[in-house]
Formats: sequence, structure tokens, C-alpha cells
Amino acid sequence: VDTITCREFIVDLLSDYVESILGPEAIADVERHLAECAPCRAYLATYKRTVTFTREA
Amino acid sequence: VAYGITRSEGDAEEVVQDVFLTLFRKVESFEGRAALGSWLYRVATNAALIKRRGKRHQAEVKLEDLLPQFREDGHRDSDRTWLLADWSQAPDDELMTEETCAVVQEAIDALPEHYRAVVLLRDMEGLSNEEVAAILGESVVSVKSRLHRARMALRELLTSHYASVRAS
Repeated sequence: VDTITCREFIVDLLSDYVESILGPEAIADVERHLAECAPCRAYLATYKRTVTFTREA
Repeated sequence: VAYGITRSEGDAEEVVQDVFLTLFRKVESFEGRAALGSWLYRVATNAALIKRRGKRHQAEVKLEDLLPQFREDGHRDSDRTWLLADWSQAPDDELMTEETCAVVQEAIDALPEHYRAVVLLRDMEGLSNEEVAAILGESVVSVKSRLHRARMALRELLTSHYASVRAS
């Protein structure tokens, strides 16, 4: 069962998830949400590439 | 850093000259190279922010307009526009063109100054959250929050850019 909302993922957890500093429970919540939410998977992928582009620009 | 913030070679040179003049005057008070390194970043960043404040050429974007919107239940609408807006699977050579570099640079320039400083120091200079917090005299929580908001805004600007490229 999905335990977090898109807002909680994007606003509260995404940054720490990308930096790999979330605890195991939060990671499990995020991955459960991502498995069910295509828009958030797309958001995560484009967010990560934005960071890469900023580093290379 | 000075050029990244001021976006003017002349201003950046002035900032660097001022920083090194100050360093020359105060060099005896530094105990170690690590302290000197973060001091240089701090003085250069602050001097560049002050210089930029006096000569802002370009309208800064409203960050709030570029942050994601949610429904009342905290979820996003799962219509097709979301998936169409996913440009992450396109190959690098298609995405990372000279035009895109210019778009990223313009997008960074358009960020409000304190957001831009965090992006420059953290993502472009590769400093840690703790180092950036020390340079800007802010908490690590504040640096992390601003970096995340700036990255979300940049992501939105890039998404709009790729959408217009696809449409043309």
C-alpha cells in the first residue's frame, strides 16, 4: 500500500533520496510510491538529470 | 564563483582583486589552508552578491511559479502530460547541446540571488552542504532547502525548453 503522497515524495524526501541519505524506512516508502506512480518516476529521472546538467553546464 | 554570480567578467575581476587585497592585508591571521579556502569562498561569494545587487540586468524568476503543484490530497494529476514531459530517457547528445547549456546557464542566472549562490557553490563548485552553509553563514537545513527548490525550478525550466524543442 502506498504510504506517501506525491507532495511528500517531491517536497520532503526527493532531495535526501537522491543524495542517498534517507533511512531504510523512508527509502522503502519512497520506492513503494515510485512503483505505483509514473509521474513521480518521471519527476525523479528529470530532477536527477537536471542536477547532472547543472554540474556540466 | 565571482563570475557565476555577477555574470560580468569586469565585475568578477574586481571582486577577485578585492578579495586578494583583503587576503594580502589579513594573511597573517590565518592558521591553516582549510580555513583560508573557505574564507576565500565566503568573501568572494558575499562580494559578488553585493556587486550583483547593485547591477541587476535581468529579471529574476519567481521561484514559486516553477515549483510543482499538487491536488488537495497531495497527489499529482496522472494525465499524459506528465509522461510526455519526461525527457530523461533521451540520449545525452540530443539533450546536452550547446543550446541546452545556454538554457541551463540562463536559467541559473534567472534564479533569485541566494538560490543562485547555493547552486553555484553546491552543484557547480562541488562543495558540501556544510561548506556552503559556513560560507553563506546559514544553517545546513536552509542550504538544503534552497538547493532543492532551485533544482526543482531548474528542472521545470528545462522541461519547458525540451517541450518547446519537441513542438518546433
